[in-house]
Amino acid sequence: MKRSSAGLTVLLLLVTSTAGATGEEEIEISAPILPDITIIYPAQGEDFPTTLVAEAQLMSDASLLFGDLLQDCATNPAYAGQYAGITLQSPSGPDLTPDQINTNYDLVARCSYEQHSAKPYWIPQLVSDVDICAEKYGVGWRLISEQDIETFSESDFQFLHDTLAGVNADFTSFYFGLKVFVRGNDGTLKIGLLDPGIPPPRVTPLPADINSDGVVTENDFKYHFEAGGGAGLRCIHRTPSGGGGAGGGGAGGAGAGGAGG
Amino acid sequence: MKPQERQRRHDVAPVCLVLLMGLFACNSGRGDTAAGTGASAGTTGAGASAGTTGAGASAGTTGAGGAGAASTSTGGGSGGVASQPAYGIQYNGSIKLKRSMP
Repeated sequence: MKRSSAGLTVLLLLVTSTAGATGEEEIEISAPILPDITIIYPAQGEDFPTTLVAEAQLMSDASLLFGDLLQDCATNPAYAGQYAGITLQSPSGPDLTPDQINTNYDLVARCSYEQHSAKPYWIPQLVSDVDICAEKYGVGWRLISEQDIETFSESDFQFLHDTLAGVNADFTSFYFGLKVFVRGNDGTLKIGLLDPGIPPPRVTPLPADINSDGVVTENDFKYHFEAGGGAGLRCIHRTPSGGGGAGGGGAGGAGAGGAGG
Repeated sequence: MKPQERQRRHDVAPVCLVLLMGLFACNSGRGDTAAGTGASAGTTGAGASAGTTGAGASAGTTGAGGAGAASTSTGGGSGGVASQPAYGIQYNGSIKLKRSMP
């Protein structure tokens, strides 16, 4: 009697744990967080912040988030007319169509460059020291890691490429770039390539001579990284489909707030 | 069968029933529509947002389900948008993809 009930309990636990071992995973990769270069350039090299608190403030001040840009570019009276194609989601209105969302993305890319001095030229030391993903997007969001890339399949890379290629209207290509900062398996900041068809290694160290002055010093990481077109800072959030995850917020930026469904 | 043994059988049966209910509840939370993430966090405040099927704590009736969770194929916690494309570019600018777990 006791044995049979114990056996049932074990069976149930086994079935339950097995059910959680398979399934799907949802991956969300944020739009690039790009710096306003008019903010970070004056703070590089010898003028780089000397405390982590100051670094965090600089990073926060310089970060241009998609959600904020979307709102600003659509409503700022100084230039909203140039981006009239942007459609903002109304809490009570119909959902945007994929075409509208794609147009938004393209116009935000353009606006980020034209109105906000956005370029993919972050200072590596800032990216390495400040956890901007968690700060801006919330729990569960983080910098893409080398391990993430190792788990992606070629079809994943192809999907990312095709998705962005379907949106890009030939402007501000950096906003569509898949060359990104990643956290290496050794803990250092590296560069990762998320494009399809890339021969290994997809993840490589940053060049030592960041500022391309021909001299490598310990301060190089405190200069903006521009060589080869720089790199984007995209965040990642991975959620096993099937409940139980802690969940994180969306990569919103200036969200409209809780429309619910 | 001794009276004590019969009593033990009666004691065990409800426990098994609860475990079974927990199993089904747990698995029902693993489906495609299992729901979303809880509080979202934008810079200027996205607040708690919900997909079409809502968000928040999803748990089995017996508590086996685990808190939080869940994003539907059409929704899920980003800046208060009610519903978004399941894959590809989202309203918040992110790219969402779903893949089989390794």
